[in-house]
Amino acid sequence: MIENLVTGFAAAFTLTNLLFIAAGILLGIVIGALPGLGSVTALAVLIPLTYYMSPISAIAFLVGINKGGTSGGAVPAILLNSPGTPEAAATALDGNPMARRGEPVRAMKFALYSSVTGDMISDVLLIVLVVPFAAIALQFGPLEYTAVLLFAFALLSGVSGDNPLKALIAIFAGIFLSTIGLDPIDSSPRMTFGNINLYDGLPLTALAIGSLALASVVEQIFDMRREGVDSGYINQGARENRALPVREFLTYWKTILRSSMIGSLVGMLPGLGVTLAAFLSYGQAKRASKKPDSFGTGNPEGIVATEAANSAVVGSNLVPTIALGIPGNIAAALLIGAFIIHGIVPGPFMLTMHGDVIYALFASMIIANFVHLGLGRMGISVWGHVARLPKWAVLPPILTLCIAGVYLPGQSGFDVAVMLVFAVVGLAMRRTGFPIVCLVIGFLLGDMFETSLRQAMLLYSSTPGAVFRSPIAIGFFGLAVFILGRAVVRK
Amino acid sequence: MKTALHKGAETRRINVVAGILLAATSLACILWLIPGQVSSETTPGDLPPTVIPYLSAGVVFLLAVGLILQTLVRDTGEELPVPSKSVLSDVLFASAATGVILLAFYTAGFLALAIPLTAVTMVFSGGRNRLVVALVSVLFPLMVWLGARFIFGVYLP
Repeated sequence: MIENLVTGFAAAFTLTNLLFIAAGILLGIVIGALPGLGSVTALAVLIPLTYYMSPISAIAFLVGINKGGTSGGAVPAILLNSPGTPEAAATALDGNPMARRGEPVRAMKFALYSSVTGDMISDVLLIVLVVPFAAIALQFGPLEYTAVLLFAFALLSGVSGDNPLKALIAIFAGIFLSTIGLDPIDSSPRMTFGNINLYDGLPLTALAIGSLALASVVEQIFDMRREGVDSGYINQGARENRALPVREFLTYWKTILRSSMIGSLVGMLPGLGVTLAAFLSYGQAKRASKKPDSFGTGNPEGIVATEAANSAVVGSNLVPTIALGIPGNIAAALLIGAFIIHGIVPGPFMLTMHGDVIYALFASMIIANFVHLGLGRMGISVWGHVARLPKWAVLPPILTLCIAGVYLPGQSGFDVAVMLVFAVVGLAMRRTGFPIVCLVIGFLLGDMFETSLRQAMLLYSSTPGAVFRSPIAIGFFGLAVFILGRAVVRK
Repeated sequence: MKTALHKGAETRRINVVAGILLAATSLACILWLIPGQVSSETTPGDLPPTVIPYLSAGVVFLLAVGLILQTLVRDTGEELPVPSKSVLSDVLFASAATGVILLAFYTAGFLALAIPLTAVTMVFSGGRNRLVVALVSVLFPLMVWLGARFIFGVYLP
């Protein structure tokens, strides 16, 4: 592993790669810092740019965006009490009171240092755990894959939104949409209406950008129209205390470690979001604190707990992504899309077939943490200005960017049409409480689900009793039933 | 700016209508789309290509019926961001805008679409500073067009 990692560092440590990592982090922080947008929007909008890059640069660029976007959300949370991302909502609880009492820069430093530390811990866990995970995954046959996918769907439905029924509908609607195009086994056209654009299925990038990024922008525009303009400005304290010595930051080492472990664990389980990690960690830090009442009034420990946890999700959610081909969250789902675009099929064979790219990815992640620290440190005063831009000036240009971004790779008007249609679908889903993340993950995993289910049905149709000889499959089927049953009883 | 949450009768109305629409759509897929658009011929040693489309559409149908029944039987305590009338008006407005945008994109091209689109949405979302609206709506699409042309070598239509 060490040897592979050294080779990975050699491949990743090039000027081009470093520039792409820096650009990704910068764009991620800027987009993440815009209230209402986040790393998912940043990834969705910027994936088309990677079509023109080498696989290593592309993945490094996207990893940079993901890291930057996750921590960028803390900037408006601290300065404006308007979290750029849902997970940063917990950061606002203590970050904004700190900013209001004249310590905005210190609060942002706490957020940055915790974010980078949490990220680093989770990256190390990813590197250490992914090989054993993939080795276990190699024992999986079609039945085990079907069971794991059903478990992931159950987990996703249990934690997405208020109503598990709606989440399950979205997942199976996504699976249905993934069947449009040529049949994966006999290549007969399905629901294409003779349209050649549909032979490859619905374009993933257009579907993801439309339903995730564009729908979110359109929803916010409607809300602003209905409820008035957000000026996006707060006063910073007149007499600022800006210094944060490393020694003071390290006094919170227990919280940093605990929160990083919570974030890493949540990231490894498919379907559990970054937001859950942030709030779980915040709650845990408050319970463990000697002064729980100080939380919510500007206690730096609150910022440390949430930022370390939500950034720790970034690395660890690649464990199931790489080992099983199952995304830990929507950002990982978009990364899977990018892997596929670059000819890399996620799953246990990824390490053997594309080991060079994977270890370069690990190296890029470690390098990205240092770049993130440097850029974040230099930019702390600048990010504040980005977060103060009014939404009415920021959101409309994103419409233009989405149209150009989807058109560029294939120069296809059809892709733009698909994106716009899914923007309307996404808006309708947001308004009616159907989780879009479930639709996109269902669509993304639909192919794998279909292939493994069809193979399992063929293999076991003559001897259905053989199903009970696979303890892995039984275990995952049992867990799926338990999670669904529990969700139904609770609701 | 905070979005008021709606629950109770409003949520029930939205859930029932959504459930009916989803059940009708999935039924249309099962009875018309899949039989008409997917070959049911089976390759030797494989299952027909209709298996997963039927399975997924069938599950959506059953769950949609389940959603309607669940909503009619008890209050799930769900909270939704806008009332049912706003859901309808937003979706209809967005659908109409999508049609206009697509038509403009195909007939007039990127710049002729993007400049007025950016300006109109900025004003629509509350922008009142004419200079900023004018500058952003002209310069940003132009930058994107030039970026596509010179960085990626692609002429946006």
